[in-house]
Amino acid sequence: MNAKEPLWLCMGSACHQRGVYDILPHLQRLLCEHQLDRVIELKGSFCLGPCVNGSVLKFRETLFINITPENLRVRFTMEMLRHLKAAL
Amino acid sequence: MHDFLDIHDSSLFRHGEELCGDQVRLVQAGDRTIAILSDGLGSGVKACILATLTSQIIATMLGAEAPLDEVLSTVIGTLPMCKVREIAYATFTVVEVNQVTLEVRVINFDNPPILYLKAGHPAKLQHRVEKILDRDVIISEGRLERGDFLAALSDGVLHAGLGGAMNFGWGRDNVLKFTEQTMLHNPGSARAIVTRVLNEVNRLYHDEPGDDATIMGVYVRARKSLMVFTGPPLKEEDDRGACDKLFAFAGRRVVCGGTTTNIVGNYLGMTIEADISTMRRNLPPVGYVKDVDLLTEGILTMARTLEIMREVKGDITRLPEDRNGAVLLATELLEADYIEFLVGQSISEYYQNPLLPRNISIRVSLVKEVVEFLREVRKEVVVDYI
Ligand code: FES
Repeated sequence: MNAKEPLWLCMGSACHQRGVYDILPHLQRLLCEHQLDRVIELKGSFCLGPCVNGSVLKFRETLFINITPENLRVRFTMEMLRHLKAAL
Repeated sequence: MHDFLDIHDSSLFRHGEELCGDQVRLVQAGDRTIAILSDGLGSGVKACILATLTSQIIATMLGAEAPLDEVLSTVIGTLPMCKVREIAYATFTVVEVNQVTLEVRVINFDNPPILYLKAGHPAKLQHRVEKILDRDVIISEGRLERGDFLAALSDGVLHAGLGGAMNFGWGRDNVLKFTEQTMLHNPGSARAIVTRVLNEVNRLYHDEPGDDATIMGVYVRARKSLMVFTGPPLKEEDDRGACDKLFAFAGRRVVCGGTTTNIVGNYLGMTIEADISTMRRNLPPVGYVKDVDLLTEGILTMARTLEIMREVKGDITRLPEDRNGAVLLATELLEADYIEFLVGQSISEYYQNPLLPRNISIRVSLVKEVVEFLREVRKEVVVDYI
């Protein structure tokens, strides 16, 4: 099997302050729900850059900004999913 | 070169007492390090005051390079004698080491003989007896080498177990044997040796010491060095140089800060991953990369590190067990004898956000506080701003 592709979750100071601790388990669950966990691996990253717009996720070259524990589910299904499906 | 004079002292208080009748003072006078252990007669307040007075007089006078006989006659002349027991009210041991040449002089006035081990085995220093104001003072001299351990003891150490676990107390031979065994296990620091021996003393006393017991240990070992690179340099073109410096450093290496970590990642041409399992609700995770011993987030981690180090008063053995960024950083800092900080002064845009609490807004002042604390716990610290 091919190595999984990384989905980077920023864990820098700013993003941490904005709830990464709570985003992480949610995100893991969402990946499972959509059976993406077979092809995508969630990885921790140091500061991804746009700190002011935390929390930040990165898949391939695309950044997803302003993610919060509250809006994660919506943002994931409406926006991120189509990018992530490219890994399938 | 790069031998380190590791000095640590620790005391058990006589059961039920709130003050210790044994007192230790350390003075640094030029190249000379002077460590004094004084044991006041009896225990409690009176003993404590006598021992404090004695060690302070010696520290002040020897620190000011007063000649030995003058120091001793001042102390012996000042100390009252106990009329009943015909002994002085406070006894003392002075260990004076030249940090450069490692020449050592030990002055012992009525304390138990010092322990001295060379390469882990009992050894002896040349000694002579001098009469000062009609009192015997034993003076030992020699030169220490890497691996030597020398310790001054108060008599409470030798009396451990008296009448209880052992009829006549632990005694000097047993203390020496126990220390020898301790050294077999590569203890790594004066603190480790002193703590193990003193724990045994406490055990023999069944946790209720019948006398104050103190060990002041001097251990010559290789100096442990650490470099901490934190914060992006003011000018981007200095990034490379800072990394060159970090990787050329002979010792352990820590990178502290997200942007700083990215600078190091770029330099190495790799993405540095954070170890998710080390993330805590109040602390971002750490990362690892070849040739760097630890990478952490910056401000939050460093602030918590400072808190933790203060909570445990710089005692590495009391750090919390949790494997998080702050504990790991505190471990690196407290393990080192010599620490070089490479502090980049560029402030990330994010921290200029006026909505942020001020305490996470200024790296430089945080580093200053950390440095101050480390110096208080006798670390040699050098700070380089870039
Ligand atoms: S901390 Fe997440 S982008 Fe900077």
